[in-house]
Amino acid sequence: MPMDRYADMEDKLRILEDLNMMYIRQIALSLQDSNIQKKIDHEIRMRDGACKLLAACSQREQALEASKSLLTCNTRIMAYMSELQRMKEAQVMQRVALRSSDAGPTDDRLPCKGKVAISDLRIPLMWKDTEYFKNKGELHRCAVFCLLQVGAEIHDTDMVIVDRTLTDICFDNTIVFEASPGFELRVELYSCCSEEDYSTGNTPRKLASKLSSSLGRSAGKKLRVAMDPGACSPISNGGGATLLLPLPTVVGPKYHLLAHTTLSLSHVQDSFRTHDLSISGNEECSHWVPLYGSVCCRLAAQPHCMTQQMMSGCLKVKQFGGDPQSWTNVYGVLKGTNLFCYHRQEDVEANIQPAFTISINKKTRIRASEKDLHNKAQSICISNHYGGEEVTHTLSADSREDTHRWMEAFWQQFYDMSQWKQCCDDLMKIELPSPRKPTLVTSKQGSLYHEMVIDTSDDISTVTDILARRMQELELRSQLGTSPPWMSLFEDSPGCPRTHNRLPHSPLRCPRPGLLSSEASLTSDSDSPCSTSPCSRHSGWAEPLSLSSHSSHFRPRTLSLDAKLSTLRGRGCGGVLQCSCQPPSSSSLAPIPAQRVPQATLSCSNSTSSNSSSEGSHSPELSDGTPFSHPSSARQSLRNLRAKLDPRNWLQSQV
Amino acid sequence: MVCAVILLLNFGYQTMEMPFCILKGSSVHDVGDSALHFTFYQRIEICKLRQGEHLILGFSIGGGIDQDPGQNPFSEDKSDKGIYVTRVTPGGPAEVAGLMMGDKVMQVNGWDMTMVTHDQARKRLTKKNEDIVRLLVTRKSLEQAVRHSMM
Repeated sequence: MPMDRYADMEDKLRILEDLNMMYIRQIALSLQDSNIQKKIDHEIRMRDGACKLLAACSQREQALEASKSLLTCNTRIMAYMSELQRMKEAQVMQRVALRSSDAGPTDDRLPCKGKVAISDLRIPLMWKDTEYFKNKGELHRCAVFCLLQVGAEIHDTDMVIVDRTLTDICFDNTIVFEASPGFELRVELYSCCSEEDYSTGNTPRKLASKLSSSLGRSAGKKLRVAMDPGACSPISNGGGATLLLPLPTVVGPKYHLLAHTTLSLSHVQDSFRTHDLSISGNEECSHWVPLYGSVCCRLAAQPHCMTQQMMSGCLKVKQFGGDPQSWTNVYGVLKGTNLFCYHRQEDVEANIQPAFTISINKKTRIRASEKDLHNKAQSICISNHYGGEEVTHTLSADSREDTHRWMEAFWQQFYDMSQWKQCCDDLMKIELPSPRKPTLVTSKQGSLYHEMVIDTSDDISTVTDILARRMQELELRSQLGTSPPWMSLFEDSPGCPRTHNRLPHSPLRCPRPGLLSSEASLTSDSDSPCSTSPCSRHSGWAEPLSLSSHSSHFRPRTLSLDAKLSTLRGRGCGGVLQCSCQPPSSSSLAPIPAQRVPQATLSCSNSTSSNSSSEGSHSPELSDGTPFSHPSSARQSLRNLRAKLDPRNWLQSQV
Repeated sequence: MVCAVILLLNFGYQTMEMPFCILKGSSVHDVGDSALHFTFYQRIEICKLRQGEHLILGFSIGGGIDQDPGQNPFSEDKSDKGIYVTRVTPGGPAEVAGLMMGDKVMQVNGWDMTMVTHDQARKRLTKKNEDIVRLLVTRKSLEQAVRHSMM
């Protein structure tokens, strides 16, 4: 697509975005609600920052983190806009109702809100058994994270890199929402392949298709007035009106929705439960991760009626059947399933035990009694069953208004308990997330054992060098603190000494804050002692494990034809073969992912379809009849497709 | 029935030819193996066909010491880095001459093809001043046929 047309569209998009924001501001002004407007502005600033970061960063981990931030910002912006639209419509409806005045007094009792916490998310994976026993060297890795949404509140978990060494995806975050009992917690799992090159060619096409599509269901007259009815991507929300949301063009890793589920009050429990996941996507996608199909988590809720004082005041309490004159002056506090009666108001603060406690639960019966002979005001009778015996307390407030307020409070409490159901039986514990500390030691996805590669020609001093360097890195990382990993792009990378050893880049595997750029830089200039061995010339494509072939590092390739072919082959066929020409340094301890290694599951495609006329397409990984549901034909077609895209894996020449 | 095959012993780049003699000996390709091996070869003479300004032979090759031998679908030994015929154009000069897919090319006009890079192999087949190429190929099916006939 010619660049000038692309630039035109960019301009149009910018104009549309400005108009969009004007429209949003108009709505916000009319609603006299600047809160959402501020949130939208904030998210837009964050989004711009993430876009700039994506364009600027070169590290894959940083790009993945930035892309995740971008997705979260976009989702939040859309949610806020929808919320704004909804509020606007509600206001309009209200005005209409007032004018028509046909709506009678409705019982507008709303249940109290509460804290809903989701924690310990765990998504089991189902790798094919062939995957476990494949030891071809490189791992198919995907970056995943979860987006959790309740209403307009969106939170994202940390990003986790998934490969076949993991049996479950675990997210350690605890996320707390403020929600009403009718909440719907939408859990979405996004994934992105962590090895592909980011295609730059797709974006203009997407733009073109978006711009060429018309507005569709056009919004109300406001929209027509507010903006030029040009072509843009219409996003419709619940209100029926469409909002235009021109998305910024980004080049970089893109996350795709892999699975989702919706949790609600019925799923709330004080223990772990397993829920089903709806999986979108299949094996053909690049971002595929084999999910078992369920998600385990702990979804707890603390309604405010259980944790907060709903009502408090001075009361006179008398036990039924007792002496009519034996009224006790107490300070009553209605909280949770109890009415605590303290001797004095100060006892509440001092945490002294209440004089007595009256249960207020779903079995309690409360009624306002007739005027007592001895009292002028109405009194409230609370009846409970304690072990087969019915016990009634009579409460009397100071004034009629107080009595009304207490009755109202009791009604509200009952209503809340009926809405929050099982959450009001007992108070569920919610552990608030503690402030994040930088992860000092190696993350759960790798150990020092995996990260160190010791060449046979190395001696013990190089091992100590590696250890010393790692100590330095740990110190530096702790100094950097809790900044997000991609912030390191803007920090000066500390000058770590560069030795002649190769440090594998499995630190890139683990999403650790800080030092990614500096660690990577350690390897770029390493001078491999094996570089002069004759085998390494041919081994560029052969050995993703070996680090003697510095093709796997950032060193630019030489321009010889052999080298060029080797890089292409290295991308295409990593890990398939058993090369008899083994360079001496292949004594690595564990599969270390090299820089440009393709997905292991697809590497066998090269052997089969690079030769277009070969009949014998052997697929050693798939020849077994696996009991898993994924059809092998789909895999083969994907392999063929991959091979077609990279046909020069085993060169053939026509003569 | 004795097939018209020629058994050769290869020593480096020189060949000693013993026509019509079935000798038992080990070929240099079977390194480290002290047992007796047979290797059967066939001579194929292809006349190049002129197509436009190109002289074509009508087949494709794969392999080479700079290639990944594990991806060779025709080789039995997956560390064999020799040059193999991967495709034969129907009706082309190679098919007419009797070349078959899966043949391993051992020599071209006397030049050894067992330790060459892919590009070198291609160049040796496409020399512009040569109209005829004489290939020495080996074929698994050939070997099997002779074995059967000898039993």
